[in-house]
Amino acid sequence: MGHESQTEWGWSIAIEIFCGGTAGGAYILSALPYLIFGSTIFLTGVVASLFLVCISVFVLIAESTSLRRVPRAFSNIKSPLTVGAISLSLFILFSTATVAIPHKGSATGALSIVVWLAVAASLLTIIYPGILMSFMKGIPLWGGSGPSFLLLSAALLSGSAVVTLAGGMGRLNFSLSQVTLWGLVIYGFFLFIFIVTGGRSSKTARISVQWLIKGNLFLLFMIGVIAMGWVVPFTLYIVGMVSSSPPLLHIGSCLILIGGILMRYSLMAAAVRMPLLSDDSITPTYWRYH
Amino acid sequence: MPRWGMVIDLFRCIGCHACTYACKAENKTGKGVFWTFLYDYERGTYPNVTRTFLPILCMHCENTPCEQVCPSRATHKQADGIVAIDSDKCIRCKACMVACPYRARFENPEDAYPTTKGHPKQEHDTLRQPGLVEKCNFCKERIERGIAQGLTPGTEWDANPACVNACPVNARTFGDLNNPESEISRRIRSQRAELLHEEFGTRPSVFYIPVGKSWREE
Repeated sequence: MGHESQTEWGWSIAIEIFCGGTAGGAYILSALPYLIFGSTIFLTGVVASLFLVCISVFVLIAESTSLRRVPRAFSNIKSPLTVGAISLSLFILFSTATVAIPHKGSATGALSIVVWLAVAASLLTIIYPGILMSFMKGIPLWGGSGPSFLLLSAALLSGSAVVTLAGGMGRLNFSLSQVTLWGLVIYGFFLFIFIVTGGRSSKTARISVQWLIKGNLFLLFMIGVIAMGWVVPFTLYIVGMVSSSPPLLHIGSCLILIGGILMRYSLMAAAVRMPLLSDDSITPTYWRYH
Repeated sequence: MPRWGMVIDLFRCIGCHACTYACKAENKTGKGVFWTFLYDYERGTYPNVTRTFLPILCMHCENTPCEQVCPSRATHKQADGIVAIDSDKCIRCKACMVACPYRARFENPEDAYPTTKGHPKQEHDTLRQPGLVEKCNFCKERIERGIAQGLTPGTEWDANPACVNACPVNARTFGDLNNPESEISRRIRSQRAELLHEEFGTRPSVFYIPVGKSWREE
């Protein structure tokens, strides 16, 4: 007699993490020229980030299936989920304020404060899923700080892709395409480290990595995340920058976004749990029930 | 104050699933929801094969990962050590299910009470809604009722969890871990009961007497 394991987290959580992280990245990159160079905030990017974070919140509420219970998500400040709920709420508040506050005249002081607060909320929004994953003792693949760095780099990368698609090219006083290219390099580095360290840790984590690189999730991860989500955009960005071809950069940005969401789902799907008995007990009988 | 716990003798367990059925009958759990369940492991290769049955339930940990991640405080630890879920507070995020390293939590997939006409009214007063997370609570209603009647949980039928009563080979022992003279404390000491995955740092209240060599040696 066996029983089927229930599905815990899947596409909905992957979409929520993607939208929340991308929204945070898009806001930071939209506000960066203002914060560093004192130039104007790219409001289209801010609106895009607001739209994405609202999708994230909508998915979370839909997952909960009961609107009246949602406020209870703010009850336990020690829970990363509560921190996430607070950060998402603050992010919506401050990014709305960023759009609403006049960008000239006497309100500029208030705007500066609001933007810094929104950046802080953005960073929390990007980081909290990785912290939450590190709480899951039974899933070795999610242990440590690897997921946090991976999600942080992925969020900034997909944020820059959103800003590019929102018309950031030519409107900013720094090269967004260079930022995206560096984002690809850093994201690729953390992805590589995540896979290598996962493959060298516990047997359970190695199984997770094997699923990703040559198992059930090969198509999703190697084709979707690595090839389509990293290799092709990287190539397109280099060619696009050399040949000054915005369409190539836009196509690359779209692929970055698709690869980003597939990466988040891969993290969920590859989460193999530590076996209840020792690793040596993993036999065909075991897998029938898990 | 008592701290309720359980010790399970894996050598005695014969994998009959009486505990699973008793729990389902007592707690009227939904389809696919098992507050206690037996995992069946084969170890070794032919001809040196052994079979181990591993009953799993909520470990009622002292360092509860599920409580740490629960954003609504639906999961909470009682003074007597039982980790309980307040169904009214659960927001169905399932973070506790992911956080539990022992796979002891289940999402209720359907109403626990059938709504077909003519079905007798159930004795539980709380209707469990789909999507809410459930798990073993050591049959705390039975414990509380037993204590109110002056019974001692761990020694008397009406104050024991249903799975403990149902086991035909007395593989499960329930009692007060804070009482060094209780049956459970004596068994843990004399038979060197161990914790499942002690390295998680969860400090469970459910102990196991392993078959063969100690888990610490594996």
